[in-house]
Amino acid sequence: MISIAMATNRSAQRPNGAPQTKVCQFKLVLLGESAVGKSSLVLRFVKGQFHEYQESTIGAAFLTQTLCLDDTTVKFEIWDTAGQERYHSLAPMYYRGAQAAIVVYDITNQDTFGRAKNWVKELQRQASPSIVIALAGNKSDLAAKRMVEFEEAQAYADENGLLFMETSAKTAMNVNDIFLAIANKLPKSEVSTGGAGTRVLNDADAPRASSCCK
Amino acid sequence: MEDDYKFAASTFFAKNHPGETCGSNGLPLTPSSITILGRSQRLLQIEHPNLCTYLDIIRGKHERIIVVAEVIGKALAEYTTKFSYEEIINIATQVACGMKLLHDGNIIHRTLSDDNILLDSNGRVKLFHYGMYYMTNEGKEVPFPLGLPRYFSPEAIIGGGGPSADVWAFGIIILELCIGKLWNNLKPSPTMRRILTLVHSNNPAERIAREHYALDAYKEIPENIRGIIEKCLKIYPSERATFKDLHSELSSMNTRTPSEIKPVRGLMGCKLQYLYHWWQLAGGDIQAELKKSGLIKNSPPILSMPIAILLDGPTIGGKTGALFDRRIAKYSLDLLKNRLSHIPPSDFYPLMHERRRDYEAMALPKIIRERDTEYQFYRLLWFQRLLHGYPYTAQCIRSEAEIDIPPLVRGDVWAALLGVLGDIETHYERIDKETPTHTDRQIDVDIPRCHQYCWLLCGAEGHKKLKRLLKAWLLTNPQYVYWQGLDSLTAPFLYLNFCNEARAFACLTAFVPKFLHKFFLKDNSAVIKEYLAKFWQMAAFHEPQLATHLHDINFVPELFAIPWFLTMFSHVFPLHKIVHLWDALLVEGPSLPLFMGAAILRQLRDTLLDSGFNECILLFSDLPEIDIGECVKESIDMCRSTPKSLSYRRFTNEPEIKDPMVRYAYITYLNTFICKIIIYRDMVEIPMEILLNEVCPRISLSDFFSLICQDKCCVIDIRSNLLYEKSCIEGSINIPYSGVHLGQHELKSLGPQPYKVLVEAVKMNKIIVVASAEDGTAQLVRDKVFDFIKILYKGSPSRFI
Amino acid sequence: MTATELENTTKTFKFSFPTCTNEDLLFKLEVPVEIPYPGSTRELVQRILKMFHIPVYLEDDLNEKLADFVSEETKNFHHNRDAALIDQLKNNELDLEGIIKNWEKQFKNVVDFAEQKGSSDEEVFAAAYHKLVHSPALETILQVESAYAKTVMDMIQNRDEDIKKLTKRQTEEMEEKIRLLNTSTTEEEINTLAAKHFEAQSLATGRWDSQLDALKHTQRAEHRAWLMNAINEYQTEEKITPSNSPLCSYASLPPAPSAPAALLEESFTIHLGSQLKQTHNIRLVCADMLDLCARDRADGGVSLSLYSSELSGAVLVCEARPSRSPLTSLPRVTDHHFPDLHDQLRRIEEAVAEPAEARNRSRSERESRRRALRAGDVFVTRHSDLAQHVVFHLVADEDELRSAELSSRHRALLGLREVLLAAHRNDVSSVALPLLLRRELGEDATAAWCLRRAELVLKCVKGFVLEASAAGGARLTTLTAAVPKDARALFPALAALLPAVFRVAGPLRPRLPSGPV
Repeated sequence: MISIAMATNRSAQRPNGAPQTKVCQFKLVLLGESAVGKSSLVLRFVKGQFHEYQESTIGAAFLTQTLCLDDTTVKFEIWDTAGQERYHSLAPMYYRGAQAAIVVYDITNQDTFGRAKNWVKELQRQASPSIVIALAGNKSDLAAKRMVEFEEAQAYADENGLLFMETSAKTAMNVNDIFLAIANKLPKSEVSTGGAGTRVLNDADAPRASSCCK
Repeated sequence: MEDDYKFAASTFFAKNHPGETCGSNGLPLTPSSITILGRSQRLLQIEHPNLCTYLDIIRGKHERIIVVAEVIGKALAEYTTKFSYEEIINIATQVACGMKLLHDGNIIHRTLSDDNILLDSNGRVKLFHYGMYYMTNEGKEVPFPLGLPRYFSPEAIIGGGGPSADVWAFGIIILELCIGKLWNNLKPSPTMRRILTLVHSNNPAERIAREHYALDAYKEIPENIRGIIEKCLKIYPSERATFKDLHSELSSMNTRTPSEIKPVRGLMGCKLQYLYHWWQLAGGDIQAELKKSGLIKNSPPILSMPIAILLDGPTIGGKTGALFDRRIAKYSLDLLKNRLSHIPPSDFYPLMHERRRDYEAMALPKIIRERDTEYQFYRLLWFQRLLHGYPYTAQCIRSEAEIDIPPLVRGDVWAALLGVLGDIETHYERIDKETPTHTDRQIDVDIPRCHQYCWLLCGAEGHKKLKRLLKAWLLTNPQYVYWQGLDSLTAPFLYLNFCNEARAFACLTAFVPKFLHKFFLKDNSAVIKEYLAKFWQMAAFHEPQLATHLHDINFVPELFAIPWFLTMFSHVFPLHKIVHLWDALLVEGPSLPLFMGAAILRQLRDTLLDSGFNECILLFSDLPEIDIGECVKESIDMCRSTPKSLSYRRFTNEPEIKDPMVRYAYITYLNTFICKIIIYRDMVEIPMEILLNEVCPRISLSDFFSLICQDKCCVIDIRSNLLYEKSCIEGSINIPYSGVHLGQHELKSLGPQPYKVLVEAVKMNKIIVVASAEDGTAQLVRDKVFDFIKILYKGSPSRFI
Repeated sequence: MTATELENTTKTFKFSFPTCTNEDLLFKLEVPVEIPYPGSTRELVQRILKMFHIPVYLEDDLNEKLADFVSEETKNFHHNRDAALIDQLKNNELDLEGIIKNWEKQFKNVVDFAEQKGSSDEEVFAAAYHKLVHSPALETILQVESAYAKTVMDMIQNRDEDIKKLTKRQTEEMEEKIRLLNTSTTEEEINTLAAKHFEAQSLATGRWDSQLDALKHTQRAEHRAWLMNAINEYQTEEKITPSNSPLCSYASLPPAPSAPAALLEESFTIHLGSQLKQTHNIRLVCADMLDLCARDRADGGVSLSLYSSELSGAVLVCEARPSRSPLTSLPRVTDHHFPDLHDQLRRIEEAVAEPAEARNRSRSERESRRRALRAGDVFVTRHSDLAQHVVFHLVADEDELRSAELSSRHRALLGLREVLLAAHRNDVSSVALPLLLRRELGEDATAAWCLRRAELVLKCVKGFVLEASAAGGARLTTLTAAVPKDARALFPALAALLPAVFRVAGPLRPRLPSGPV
């Protein structure tokens, strides 16, 4: 039986009197060629939904999602960018100050993998040096039409120190996992200096939207 | 009376794709009903005296398609008396004439039979529902066979059949008219077997007659008619006559000149499409009639419920495919006639010079007006008149469109508002829409995501057309490039001109320079930045409290408004809302979108004021339902009440504001209905970097003077006392900026006189203009002014709101 | 079938024109053209003009030539194909029987040629009933039906009391016996007594059940006969109320049903979709799913809409054996419209065996389970005596649902997707489902677990509804999410979660420890 009534979502539940959980806020950006499924990944992760005919993203879209780890609550501020090459000029505005990036390609399209590599290069050059980059080979539900081999991508990811998973926004495979892997890899202890760093908030400051619980 | 029926409906189910099949692109297969809907749009355009006009193709629940088309008289099959040979020639001539047009347009009938050839008492003949084979993609999209076996040509039975199969059917029909029904009451397979045995005969027509013990009757047929029959009933299609030959031969035989039918006056003289539209508005219900006549069988869904559904397996039990019913339901227009019976005959012919009528309905919201039978009756006839006179009536169309646009002619009216003229078809034809370009991939991935809830745009036909339009536009606008969003922008034009690509293209071509000048440049950042800055100023001007809040939380338009303006909201709203938005846009001009943006913010005002950055941006990532009628009304009000120079943009195609002493000033509204602040200073053009940082817009001198003359503004002169005393604008108050302290939040601290004047101005809903003459203090002034807003705002809301 | 899949061909269009300098020297061009040509030949001409830099004065000529070429080649294309077919036919090279058979089969789908089959009894009765409940006769019908129901319920009550009495007597007898154990009774005697008791029990139950069955059977027949008679009278004589209602045989009207206990309930209106938004209602109630099915049907709404296109349905989580449906535990009155629940369940069990075996073939199942349903499968029963017209039984492993963190790809959730899609396809416009996929919480469920499960289910449901509404069936107007009664305390938190899921995002609990799947 449930003994604790959930009062308001402001007071988050804590595991039997455990010490206050840290709330870390990270900026995460999604990059990749258009129609590889960036928005679909985010929507699957944040809203649990999937739409075959997801409208194209113009400029960028913003969403947040909170992940509860053992002792920390990680709040992702996710910037989902437009994939079209032309919107490239806008991208720095979004990845500036980002602590994490997911570079997405479509496993059924070799070109998108090439484009993903370019994004990785650009991030390594331009973004903050401590940025955690994950490579996501999306549309793994279409493995029958695969054009990018898993091993090839894995090798590339290893060379460049990237997290790597093949995902499917449609079936939800590895979607939560890739965000979780990023959350685990992000440094959560030290408060980084400078405005754009990790913000460690204590519980009282936790954003209203999160009814985080254990 | 048979002549009372004006149109009829028939219905069938499209093929159901089995469960979870996906196409090659990994997307679900397009439902057959969608394909049919897309293909049939072309049929809606066909008008010919021997073809029943298609009026509507409706997609119902569960893959049902309902076809509505004109009817006259009754079908040949329903006539019980024999026709004379003269009558037969008359019928054949007209059928051949209709068929010729179809074949010229590469439409194969395939279902020609005695129950879809209609004949009225005047001897007029029309083919009914001749597009079944065409719309169902040669029958591939339906789960039943098309046509009646006895009209099948031999090659059609064994898996072939081109246009010449129709010629065979035509031959059989004439033969039937002469010697009576063939293979009567025979089931499909024996009928087809008989037809197939004909291939061994040299003269199939004669053999058929013999089989029916009608050789004598056959021999009695006048030679010329028999000749026609035999030319049709050749075994090898290549030997059969074509409808072109048949029509000319029959025409020369036809002694009967078609009896001149006097053009009908009054209601029945109106275009059939209009009548159908009004009939629906008056409460006419196609589906209800189909149900009543048993064509839509209401087998209760509970009786066809499946009993089990296996994951990764089949569904067990449940619906069995419904049968295809060839019958049609006919409709009379009595409902409409009664509804409009009180309208005097003269009203059917509105005169251009007449003063514009005032209708009662005018006061109602647009959406209601669009559904009012009588109102749409008057509006449609009036617009028909005006469109007929286009381009000479362009001005008149514009002023009428300002009131509203009848949905039925929206495509035409938009084209007129955009000034589309000339031989657009030829122009469009000359553009290469096929040769691959490097933009193709981007277009290909964007189109299947563009307004896919719309049944026209989500099918193969819609995709193909949209791609052609985009390629054509890119090719003819080499200075521009494809930005994602161009697809959304093109969609409304395609939606309204689905079968008139040339006009959709002409509209798009005219729209972009007018509303999105330079937006599609390869480097469009300056243009977009200016646009967003202007939008932000207009928002601040009309919604200062909200703007202040959003500014405080650093919620800038770059984060959410790019798709709004780059696509003129077509990426944001569904098509039925976009059309209302654009109705206003096309009439009001290129400044309106700025205010539409502001009006959207205004609608979300309460939520936004309560929200922080994250909540705000989440709100915009999934925009809540917006009342478009309200949004349009508000934006027009704002647009008209804003001095023109305030929304001036450099990147526009509009003629320059002719003002020899162009000067600009800062302006802001304090509160929607409180007051506005303006600063003006000498300057011809504001550099971009300054503009981008300004929250308050500037005003041109002439606009400023006109405000003063109309006593619509309150001037705060922020120069020093000395300068002020030397010369000043009458009635202005002096608050030297050096005297204002940032920490002061009380309006009263400005001194008793300014306080009184300001309070008064706020009450009178005046624009507050902050005036300064010093160029160098611009930056400082701006900060101060912005602070003013806060001070004034914070000091006043409870008292004035 | 009307036309076999045609292979399009490519023909070469040849065009030549004199050079301006030398009349005898001809420019020749060859363009491959697809036949039949899907586009406009005039557009093709424009491309040719540009590609080959052909002087514009040739445009008209080229237009005409190409149009003629295409129309001629298209004609040839059809003629050649047809001629070849006819030659084959003449030479007996075609499978004529096959072709004709196929046509015959196809034409069975057209009313004019289909075997004449009248409406089934079921359909006739459905039509009659639907008409009557939408006539002034409704009230009488409802009275009659509830009188029927009362009789059955009375008998059930009698049965229960009788059995209870019997049990009590037996218990006492047994206790007495056991007390005397080792003094005047032997174990053997006790065993004999137990067997006797058991026999008496089954005899009593059997007697009652057969009585109940007989009663239901009679009622059903009576009800049908009366209604069919009533519809005749209604149609011929336009009588307002049906006469000879079997009501007269029941002395008194049943008492008005007691008002259902106040539900903990909250409703929301949500908009789904990014450009085009659709409105749905979501109701959160604190109730047992079975209670939602069994609620008293006093309002007649269920009868009114039974044969409409706005059905209501409920999702029950259950085991793989249809015969163990939780519905069997409900006391049931006569179903006047559909076969008895046990019959329905038996039919399902029979019908799924083969398809399930075919489906399960790919995986190595134990022999006993080869023909069984698996988690995620759904079976459907129909009812007129419940508060829901349709019950979707979602097969799931209770232990799995209890313990693990489900992923959105769990078979139970995929099954839920099938339910919502089926609801769409079959005009079930309101669906009630267990928000936590459990009937009760038990000891192990924490508040956090509940919220997490609720969020997962809601998110998935949202996605499924979006997906289904794109499919063009009935619109799901109302979703009822039921919270187990023992989670009453959580209701406010769940009510707060709902708008959050459908508007903004909530927090996510990953499975720990993590790792790629």
